Amino acid sequence: MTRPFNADRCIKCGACMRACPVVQEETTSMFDGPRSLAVDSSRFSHEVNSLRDNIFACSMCWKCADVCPSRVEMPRAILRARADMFDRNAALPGHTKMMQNIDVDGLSVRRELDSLSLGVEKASVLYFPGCIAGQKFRNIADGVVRTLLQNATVRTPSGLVCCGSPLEKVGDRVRMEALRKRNLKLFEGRSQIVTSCPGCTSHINDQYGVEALHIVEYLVESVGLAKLKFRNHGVVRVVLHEPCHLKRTVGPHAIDYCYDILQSMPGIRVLDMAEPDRCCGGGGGLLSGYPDVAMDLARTKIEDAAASGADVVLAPCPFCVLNLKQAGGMDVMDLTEFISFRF
Amino acid sequence: MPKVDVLIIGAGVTGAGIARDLSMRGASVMLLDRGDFCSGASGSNHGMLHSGARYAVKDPESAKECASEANILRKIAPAFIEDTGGLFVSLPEDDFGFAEKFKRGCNNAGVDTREVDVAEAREMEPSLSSDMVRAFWVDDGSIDPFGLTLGNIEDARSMGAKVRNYCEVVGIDVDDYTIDAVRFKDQRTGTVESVTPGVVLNAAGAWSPGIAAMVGQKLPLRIDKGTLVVLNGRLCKMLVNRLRPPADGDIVVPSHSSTIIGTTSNGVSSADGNIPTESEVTFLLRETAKVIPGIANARAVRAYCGVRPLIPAGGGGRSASRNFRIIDHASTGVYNLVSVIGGKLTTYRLMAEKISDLACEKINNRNRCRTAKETISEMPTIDPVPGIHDLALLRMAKKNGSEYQNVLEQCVSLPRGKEEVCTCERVLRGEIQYHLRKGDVRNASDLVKRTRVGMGYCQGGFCTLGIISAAMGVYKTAPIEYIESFLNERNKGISSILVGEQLRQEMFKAHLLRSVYGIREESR
Repeated sequence: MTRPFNADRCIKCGACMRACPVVQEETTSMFDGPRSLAVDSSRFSHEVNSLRDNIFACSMCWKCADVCPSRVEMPRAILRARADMFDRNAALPGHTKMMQNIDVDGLSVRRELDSLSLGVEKASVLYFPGCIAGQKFRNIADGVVRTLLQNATVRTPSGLVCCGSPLEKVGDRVRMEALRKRNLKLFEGRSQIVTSCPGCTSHINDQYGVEALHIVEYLVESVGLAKLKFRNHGVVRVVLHEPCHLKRTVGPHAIDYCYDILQSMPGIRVLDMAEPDRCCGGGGGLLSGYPDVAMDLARTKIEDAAASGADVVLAPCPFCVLNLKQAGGMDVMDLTEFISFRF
Repeated sequence: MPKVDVLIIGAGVTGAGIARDLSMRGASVMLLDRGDFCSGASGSNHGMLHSGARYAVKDPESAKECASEANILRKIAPAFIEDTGGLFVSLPEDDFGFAEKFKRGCNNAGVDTREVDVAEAREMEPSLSSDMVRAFWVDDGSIDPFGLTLGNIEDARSMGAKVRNYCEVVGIDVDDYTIDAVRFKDQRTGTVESVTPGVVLNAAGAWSPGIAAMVGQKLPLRIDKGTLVVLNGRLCKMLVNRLRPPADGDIVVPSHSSTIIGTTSNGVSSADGNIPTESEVTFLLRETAKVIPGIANARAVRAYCGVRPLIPAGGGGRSASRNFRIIDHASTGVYNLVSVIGGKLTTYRLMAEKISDLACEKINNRNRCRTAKETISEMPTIDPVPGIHDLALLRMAKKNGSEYQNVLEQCVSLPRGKEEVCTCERVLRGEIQYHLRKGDVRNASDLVKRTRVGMGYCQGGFCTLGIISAAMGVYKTAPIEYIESFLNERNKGISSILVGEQLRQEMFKAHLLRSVYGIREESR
């Protein structure tokens, strides 16, 4: 659902500034905030270079656009500004490292394992693991495959590279396009593309011109809740962290599906937590660009989750899992991995 | 009774320029204005630094003056000038032959210009219409009239000039064909003071016939109203002119955080009480959108109008010369009164020089004018300051010129001085308090000229409360009337453009101020 960006619609109600998780955590002295960056400062077009300082402190959580009564899509403007002022030599250290990794073998993280490769020639599902589930948390990828195999045949062609979303977030459109072409070749065939990362899902949907489903969408829409036969493995109290990209850029119902799935599992108690859809800091290039800010956001998220009294915080997003695990203090698990243990 | 060599009436850019010029020549000077500085034509124009090209065909004299004066201003007031460059663009409906006259006129007047092909013009200025058929590059720029006027005033003050706003001349005593006392009322205190001037210079713009009339002098003047519209954001990089005989809706100027389109021209009977009309605004939007199509979808945030004090001879309105005229009233019965009419922002310095020459002759001052050589305000050097956004520093420098360091010092040293009061224009609380403390500022509208607070797209929706808070920090009371006058002043410019986003903005603002803070605006 792409609307043209029009900063002129802003009436300065301040909703986006109040809702911005980075502003909440760090105040405007560290980060200008969505309206200031995308609407106010862009009016001084010739002086826009002074934005370079903090334009990467936005976590691309889309909360600002979500609360905007004038439907101004500030993250889109921030992304465009990042692309306009892209200069590899001036990139933040974490972003430089990410781009170096891409140059080496097409992944945004350093390769530690052989790429996942499953070859059922005419499989009904093509699983796209993405960088984090593919390399850092193979257990998530394994869980996805286990879950998918309950009702489908699965393939993951070898040679898949990063979807390109991290490059989009730092403004590197050229490399992003190269990755898209490499992946698209491997997407040929009739399989339904399924991912476990909301970032990959929305990036493939928006940029590749093919449809990808996040695993929770696939389970509910294509398989059907009724066909998911969960068993009772004992009582577990969980809270769900609602990943920004799953909630606000993947599809309108993806978060509801997560709750539907959890509620259909015997023995699972879903507890409430404060602001479940507030960003954990894991996305948008924030984690690699400003790791300390990402950590502040993650700690706040963990505190909220812990206050609910849950045993584990579930996040259907490997990036969130990565960031929340770094904050420590509570068990964190990807929702899809959790699901795979409940059959 | 105090004496001064020269009393100047009217603190627009001309009056301010004269005060600086004469102070540099060592004369003792007093400059008075019945309102705030820059409150007439000097504060309600395009803010265009003319290369002279616009006048090259019909008014070569003005063109020549503009060409040389613009270059002087670039040297003496760099802080207040943006060298945007300009383009003259013609559309299919425009007289094709005019371009040749334009070329010749520019050559004859010594105005630097160069024809560029349409593709090149689009590359220089991507916002231009694809309908464009011909384009010329010229050396136009944009200039901040407030900064320029206030810069002149501060420089004059530093040399001893007495400069006071809100002082209205209420009486002039003439004895033996000579003015020997001028009485003026300080509107702050209500007291009437007198001064004995060697010479009186009448630089009151559209109001100068009123001053002349006080001593029985007739000053024929054509008062011409011009309306302009402020659009949100910079829609073009360069100053864009229509290549045709000067007409309404010809000019688009990128300025600070906005784009200013204008103007209109029609004679009015009075200098006071003019407001922009809806039909003028609609016309300007439609006409300028032919050259820059993006204007059709732009957000108009405000309209304003000014009154040009034109020389009456040679036809009115567009055909009237933009040249200036100095009238020595000695020949008509008052030896020491001189009036100046006509002219324009770009040539203010030259006007000031000529009138100062005449004044010096009358007071036997033999010093030569130095204003063409000595700088009013360099662009300040900007170093990063912890806790202040780079963009706020840059804005502060461009608005305050040589006062930048003093303003910044207040932002850093005052408690909460670094707080952003106006987020549209990135105005800091310390900036507001600096100008409040200086004493010239009488109400929040005066702050707008000095800081651009409230000039953004929310038109005082957010900053109003910040201004109250900053003012309380200085005055220790809550000046609610102060704010109401500010909002009413803003409203004058809003009512003619109230559609679309700006209407939603106003509804939100009114609701916020009324329901949350109990501030009521006058019913319109």
